Amino acid sequence: MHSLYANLLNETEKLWRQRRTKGFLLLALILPVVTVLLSSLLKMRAGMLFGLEGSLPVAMLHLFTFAIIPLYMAAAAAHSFAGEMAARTMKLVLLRPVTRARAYASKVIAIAVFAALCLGVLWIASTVSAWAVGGPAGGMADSLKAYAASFVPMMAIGLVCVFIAQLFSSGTSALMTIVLIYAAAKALPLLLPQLSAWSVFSYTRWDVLWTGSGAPAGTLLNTFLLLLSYIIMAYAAGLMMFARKQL
Amino acid sequence: MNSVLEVEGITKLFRNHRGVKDVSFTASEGEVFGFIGPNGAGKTTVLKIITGLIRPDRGNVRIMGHDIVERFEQAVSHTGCIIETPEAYEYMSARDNLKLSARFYKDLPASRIDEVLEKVGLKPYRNERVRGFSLGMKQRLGLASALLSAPRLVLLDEPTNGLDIEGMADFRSTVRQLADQGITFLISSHLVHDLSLIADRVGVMREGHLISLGREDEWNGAGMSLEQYVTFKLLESKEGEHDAQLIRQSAE
Repeated sequence: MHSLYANLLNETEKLWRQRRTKGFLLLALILPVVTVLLSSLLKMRAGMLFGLEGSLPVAMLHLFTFAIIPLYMAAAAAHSFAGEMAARTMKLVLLRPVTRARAYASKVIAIAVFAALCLGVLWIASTVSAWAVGGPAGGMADSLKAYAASFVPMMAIGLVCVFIAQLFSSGTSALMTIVLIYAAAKALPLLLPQLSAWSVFSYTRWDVLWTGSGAPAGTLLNTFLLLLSYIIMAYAAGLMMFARKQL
Repeated sequence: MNSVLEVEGITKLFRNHRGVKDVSFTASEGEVFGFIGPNGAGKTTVLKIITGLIRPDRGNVRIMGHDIVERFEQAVSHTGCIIETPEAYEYMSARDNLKLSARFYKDLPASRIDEVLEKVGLKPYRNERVRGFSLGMKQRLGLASALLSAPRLVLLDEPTNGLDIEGMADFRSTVRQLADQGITFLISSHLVHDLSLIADRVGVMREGHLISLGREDEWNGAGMSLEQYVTFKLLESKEGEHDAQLIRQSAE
C-alpha cells in the first residue's frame, strides 16, 4: 500500500502545480462571493431582485456540476493520462515500484480529491456568502446533503473522462474530444428524451432528489445503482486499458 | 557470483513482425554487461521487457529472484533505469523531480537526493527547472534518478547521448566505481567505443536475436578490440555483413 500512497502524493502534487487546478479552486472560492456582491449591488442600485442569495449554495452547485467540475475533470484526466503519454513522463511512474493497478488507482483518486475539494470549497464559500445576506434557504444540512450527493455523478463522469483520455496520445485531442462528447451527451436528450434515463451525463443534478422532502427511497436506490454501475464499468475499462499500455 | 538478473527465453513480436526472439542471459553482481547491436536490433525492447514497460509474449525475467510479472514491486525496487531518452517533469526543479521518485522508497534518507545530485554534478543546478536543462544535464539527471534508490541493478539505454567528452569520462568512472561496489549495470548502446572501456561482458544483438555473449578476456585474449570482436560476431551470423558495416561506421 505504500506505493499507492506515494504515487497518490505525487499525482496530487502534479495536479496542484498546474495553474488550472489553482484557478479552478479559486473560482469555487470567489464566484459565490462575486455573485452575492453583484446581486446586492443590483438590488441597491436598480431595485432588481434576483432572490438568488437564499438558494446560492444550490445554484452554485448546479453551475459547477453542470459545467465547471466536469470540465476540470476532463482537463485533469487528459493531462494525467494522454498528456503524460505525449510528454513521455508516464515512464517515470511505471519504472518505479508501483503496479499498474495502483498507479491507475492513485491517478484516479488524485482527480477525485480535487473534485471533492472543489465541492467543499464551493459549499463553504457559498454558505458563508449566503449567510452574509440572510442565510441559505433550506438550511445548511440540506445543502450539505446536496453537495455530498453530487460527488457520486461527478465521479462517474470523471471515470468516463479517464477512460476516453486513454484512447488518445495527446492531451489536447483528448480534452477536445471529451468536451465534444459531453456537449453532445447534454444536448441529445433534448431530441431523444428517453436517452436521459441511461446517460451518465444526465445525472449532474442528482442532488435535487436528496434535498427538501426528497425522492422515494426506491428511486434514490435505482439511480445510485445506475451511477455505481457506470463507476465500476468505467473504472474497470480504464484500468484494463492502462494495464495493457505498452510504452 | 550471485545472479542479479536472469532473462529466460523472452520473445516479443510487434505487429510489424519486428521485436525480440528467444533472448536469454544473466548478469551477476558487480558486472557491467554491455548490450550492443545496430539501431533496431531489439536492445531497447529487451530493456523495456526487463523493466516491465512491455509484457513479453513468452519468457521470464527475474530481478534478485523476483519475477517481474508476479512480483513487480519487489523486482523493480532493486532497479534504476534510463530507457530511451531521460524524461523528467520539465515544470519542476531537478530536486523536486527526485523528491517525487524518492517517495516510492520508504527507507531512503532525506540526504540521498543531494548525494546523487552531487555525484552527477548537478548539485549547483538542483533548484533550477528542468525545462532549461541541456540534453547532457537531463542525461545526468536521469542517471541521478536511476541511482537514487541505491539499486542493485541499473539499466541504461544509450546513456552517453548528449554528454560532452568530460561528461562521458565522468559517466564511465561513475559506472566503474559503482560496479566495484557490487552494483550490476546493463548498458545498451550502438556505439562500440562507449562499451569497450567499461564492459566486462557483452551481448551482441541483431534483428531481435542475441547472437553472441562474450567476456572481456575473450576479445582481449584473441588480440581483438571490442569493435573487431563485435564485427566478427556479426559477420559470423547469417547475413550480418550490413550490420557489421554499420558497427564499423559507428566505431569510426
